[in-house]
Amino acid sequence: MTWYAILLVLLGTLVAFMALGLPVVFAFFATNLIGAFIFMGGENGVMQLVRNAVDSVQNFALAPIPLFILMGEIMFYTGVAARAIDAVDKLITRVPGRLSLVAITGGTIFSSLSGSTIANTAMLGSTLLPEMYRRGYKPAISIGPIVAVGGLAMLIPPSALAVLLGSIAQIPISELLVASILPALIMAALFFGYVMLRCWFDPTLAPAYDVANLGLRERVMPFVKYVLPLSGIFIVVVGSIIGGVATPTESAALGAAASLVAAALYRRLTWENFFVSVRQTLRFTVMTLFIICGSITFSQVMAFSQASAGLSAAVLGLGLGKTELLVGMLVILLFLGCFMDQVSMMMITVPLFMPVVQQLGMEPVWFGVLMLMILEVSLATPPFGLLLFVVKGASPQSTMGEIIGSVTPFVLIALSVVALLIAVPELTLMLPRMMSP
Amino acid sequence: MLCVLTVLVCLDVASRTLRLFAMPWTLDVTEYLLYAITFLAAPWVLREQGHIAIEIVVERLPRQARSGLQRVTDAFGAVVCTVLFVFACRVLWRSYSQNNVVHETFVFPEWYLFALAPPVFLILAVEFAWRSAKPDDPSRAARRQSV
Repeated sequence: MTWYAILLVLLGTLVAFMALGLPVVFAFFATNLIGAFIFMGGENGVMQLVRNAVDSVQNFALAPIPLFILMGEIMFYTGVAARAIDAVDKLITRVPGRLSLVAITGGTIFSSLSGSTIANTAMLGSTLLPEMYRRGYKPAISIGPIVAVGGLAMLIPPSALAVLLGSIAQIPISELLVASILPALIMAALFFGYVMLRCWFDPTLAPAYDVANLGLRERVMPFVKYVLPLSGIFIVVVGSIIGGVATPTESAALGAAASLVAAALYRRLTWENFFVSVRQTLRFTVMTLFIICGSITFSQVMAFSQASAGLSAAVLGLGLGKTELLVGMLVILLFLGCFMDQVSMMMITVPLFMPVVQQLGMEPVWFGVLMLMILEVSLATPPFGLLLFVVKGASPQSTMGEIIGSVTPFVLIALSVVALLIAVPELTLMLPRMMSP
Repeated sequence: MLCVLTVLVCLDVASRTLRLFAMPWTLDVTEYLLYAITFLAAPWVLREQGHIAIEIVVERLPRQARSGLQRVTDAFGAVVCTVLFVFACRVLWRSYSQNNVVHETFVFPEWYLFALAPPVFLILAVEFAWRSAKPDDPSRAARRQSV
């Protein structure tokens, strides 16, 4: 059997199982059972699959995943994040598209405290969308910013998916976490500028209304009280990584503990919301880590069957330049993102892409950030973009067509940032180079 | 276990930074906890409809066809987990009979680590079989809505 026939059969089997509605992790297990039996020595191959599943999550590098998710859930369920959004709401006044700008600023702040895109989008959707509709905001300027900024949690540390990508692609996790910060801030700034300009040129999108006439102190104090102290958590997490004081796992544990302390100091921590936070964290953690158990053997099957080596050689033999190949890989990711979740996309493409990345001598951290950016965009691409459904849940009266239409400009902005990062890799690599060795 | 993991790593950082005491076993315990959390909670997440599934094709089918397909995929899931259960038992038995030992911070028989996998895969198989037998369980539909 040729390598491309093997590749087609393996990928085809996997996609068919997924399309039939079998949970992704079991689709991986089923495909790997077949692949391991055929290409890894029959029953011994299947026994190796079980060993891999058990060994795969015994990995210290994966520990930040539950801890980063826990940070976000605590902030979300204790209501501390909602208070921070409220404080930003008081601070921003008399600008076109005020509530949309509050969503972008608040969402960016929450992204620095949470590793969960779903929590970010759900919180913004539930707190700001009703008010936006009450004030007559059009879907084009209300839903779009919330979905767009919701995905930033994937890029700005603490990011659970960045940890996962770093772990499976063998990219230094601390560098990947730090490298994502600047591109995410550029993206947030462009979202902000876009909303301001659109509302400036077309005020009917976000009708102006009288904001309560608060004094400077009343506007600034909530920000000082409810937002600035939370930035301490971000400093603990990112500062400890940049300063070389702690590993990503240690910084994540410190961040989770700091979130708990912050919630307790704001007198928002109860047994009930703590229990809900832990329960939700457990659910998302197990969902993610169990996919690793199921899919870890996939890369071995690819390697043993010579499929990944064959693909890598064929791609390199095309005679295309680095940029063309890079764009090709990102387009494949973008396409997969229309139908698949982020974890599955990573587990399928990393074993195929990383050998090409290494052969081409690309900077792995740079590629990792570009991949995360596309994964972030995929959260908002129809028909399977997860955040589209999250915001639909928060805004049942909006049609899916309206949601997709409102998100499209923000997707294009995000893709333009990807193009910028391809053209200027230094934007990605600048911060990791500042890190202590 | 999640809370223990958080507290352990924080204590480790604090004790190392303040040079109070050494906790060299933190790394290994954290890894075992991650494994235990993932495997022990996997059947619960399946019951809660929490494992990611791509339903883009399934949800476009007529109700009856969808129910039938669900029954088939659940039965297939039961078969996959049963195969995994059988091979997990064989891995466990091989490790036990070969007296393999883990030499990390703690030294213990390797089969301790593999002992968790067979019951978990068995419970998963039973859950899939149960779902296959009762595909239209209303509580299940309600859980799916809440995801």
